[in-house]
Amino acid sequence: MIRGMFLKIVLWFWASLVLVALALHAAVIATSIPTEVRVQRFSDTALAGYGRRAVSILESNGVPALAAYLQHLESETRIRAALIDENGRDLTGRTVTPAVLAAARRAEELGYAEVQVDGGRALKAHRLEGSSGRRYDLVASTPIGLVRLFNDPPSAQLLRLLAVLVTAGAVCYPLARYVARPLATLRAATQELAAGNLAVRVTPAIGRRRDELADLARDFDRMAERIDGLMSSERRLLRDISHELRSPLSRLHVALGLARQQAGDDQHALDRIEREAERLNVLIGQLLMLARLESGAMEPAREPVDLAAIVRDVAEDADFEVRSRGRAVRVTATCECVAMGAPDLLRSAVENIVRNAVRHTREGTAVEVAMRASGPRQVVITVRDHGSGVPDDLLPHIFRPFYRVGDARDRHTGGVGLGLTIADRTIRLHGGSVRAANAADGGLIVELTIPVDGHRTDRAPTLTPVTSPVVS
Amino acid sequence: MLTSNGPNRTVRVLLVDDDTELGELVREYLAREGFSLEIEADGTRAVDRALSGDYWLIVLDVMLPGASGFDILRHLRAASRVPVLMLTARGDDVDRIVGLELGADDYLSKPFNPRELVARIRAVLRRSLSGPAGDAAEPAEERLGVDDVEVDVRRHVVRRAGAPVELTAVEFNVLEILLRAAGTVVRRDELARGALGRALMPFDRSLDVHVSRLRKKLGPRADGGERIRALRAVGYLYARGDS
Repeated sequence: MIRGMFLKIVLWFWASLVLVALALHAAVIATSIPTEVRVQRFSDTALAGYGRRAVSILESNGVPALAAYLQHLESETRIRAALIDENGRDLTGRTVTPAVLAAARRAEELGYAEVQVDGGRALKAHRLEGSSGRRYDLVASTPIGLVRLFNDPPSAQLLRLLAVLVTAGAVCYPLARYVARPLATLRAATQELAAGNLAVRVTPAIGRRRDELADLARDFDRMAERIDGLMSSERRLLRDISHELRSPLSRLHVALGLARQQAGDDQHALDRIEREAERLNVLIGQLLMLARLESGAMEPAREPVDLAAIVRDVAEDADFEVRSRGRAVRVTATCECVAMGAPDLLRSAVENIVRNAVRHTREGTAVEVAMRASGPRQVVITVRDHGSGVPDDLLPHIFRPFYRVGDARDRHTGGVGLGLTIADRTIRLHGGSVRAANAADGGLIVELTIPVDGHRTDRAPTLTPVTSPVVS
Repeated sequence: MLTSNGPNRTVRVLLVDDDTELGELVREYLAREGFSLEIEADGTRAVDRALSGDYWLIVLDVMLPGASGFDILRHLRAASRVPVLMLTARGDDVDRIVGLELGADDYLSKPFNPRELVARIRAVLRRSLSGPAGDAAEPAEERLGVDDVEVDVRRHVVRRAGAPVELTAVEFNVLEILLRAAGTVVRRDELARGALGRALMPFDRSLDVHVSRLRKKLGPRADGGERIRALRAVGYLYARGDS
């Protein structure tokens, strides 16, 4: 079935070819010597005149003058003439083709030679007699057919080339534009959609066309509409879920407080209820966080963040918490650097990794946190525990939501399975990457690679008047 | 610490929240702590009630359906200095900062521990709760003054070069603490505990927002210098004119 675009392209090409042919034809006619003139110039009388003049120039002024005259004649009339003597030699010393010599011999006998064709040129010959009584044969040739066209002066050739180029360009440019413009619009819209702008639509920019491209634009809009709808309903769902889950949790917390007010000294069971309620709350918070990170809706703040301070701070807090359980967190190395990002997000990423390590390290061992520059614009934070590690084939999966390496392993350590995922997504949002590996002597190593703005060599002065807090 | 000598000494608190079930529970809890809580679920009526002058403090849920809690806060602050505690979603820092910028005194993330709520209310109201007139043990009048700023601690009045400056409860707390230690550095956590009644979370900017608002209201010193200087990651210092 012949559809709009196909038909349009066929018609357009057809029209452009016809137009180019017409333009070329017009250009050739405009730049060529008219047929009437050409015929007259190559007539026997005219040729006889050229011949007489050539002979008289030769006899009175010599060979160089003859050569000059013949050259002048060719440039003026496109007629190339040669004067051949009785011995069949060209008088100006040029080598001539056998056909020219044959025509000269024929003229020698008959007084003239009729028109012959010699490689794209028409030949004629005339016998002449000089005032000295010597006999000559003038052999004249003029280009015919295609050779005649290419024999025209460069300015004519250029004009014809221009006629083809300009006409073809003038017709093909709108065609290319007609096809390419909607494609460019679609491409830009697709990129924008991929970058997260779900409100982008192309139909208004495409206009009132009715062809495959317009169909594609409408299909794109339908697709964008659907993605937009899905994303916003998903976001709404998550928001509603969190809101609906948090309302009863809020009441639970207050009811718990009321129960505490009345329970007196025995708060044991209530402590447990509070802990579980808090766990639920943390889980909902993490789910929401993850949803925000994965939806791409979150644009992290771009402010300078002191990574070393975060690492030291997180390690110190975690160390304090796990001391009572016979474990420790040690910072083995830091380097001063400034990353651009959201300080709270980066902190929670580091914290999640450290907390995971703390959960798995054996009693009596320490989690080691190290930070080093790995290039001028990159820093690597390594968190190493002394636990049982993770089977190598499962390593890539540990950053998946709710992934558990072994059912028994994580359940009694109390992990919810979202900390590593959130850390991974956060670091990736900041343009970095997270990698896990097993240490040779047991235990898991998690490496956070974070792009930084360069490594600071001097510390910022401590006394700086803060004009106003940054609000993001 | 809370005394209720007669009906007009009862601390009345207004809770603006559409979750009335939660409101009932909070009312019961606060009643045992000596506060009288009333609940308003409607945003428009909430502004009128909050402006009535009947309440010592407003607890405002910013996630109200329909009218945004921020609109209520904006209306409220246009006409009144009544202390406002915001309830925000956990992890939503933008809400917090916006709320504080609009003049809220502090925030609490939902779900909250009621103990925590009581602690915040007491911190924000600490001046008012210690009793404006009753206590004979404290002097009837206490004035703090540094350069052209003068603070009447008992009456909650601040004057700069004689002209009154309107401060919210927390801003007043911050100023009072800084003035008492004028010329020396007050550590951030110390200031937070004193003015907000709580420790700061990592990257918690609420204290900085309050200080920034306070600075803006007080303006620069007569000699053009900054009244309150920030010492990054350490704390704040109220600079004396001669220092």
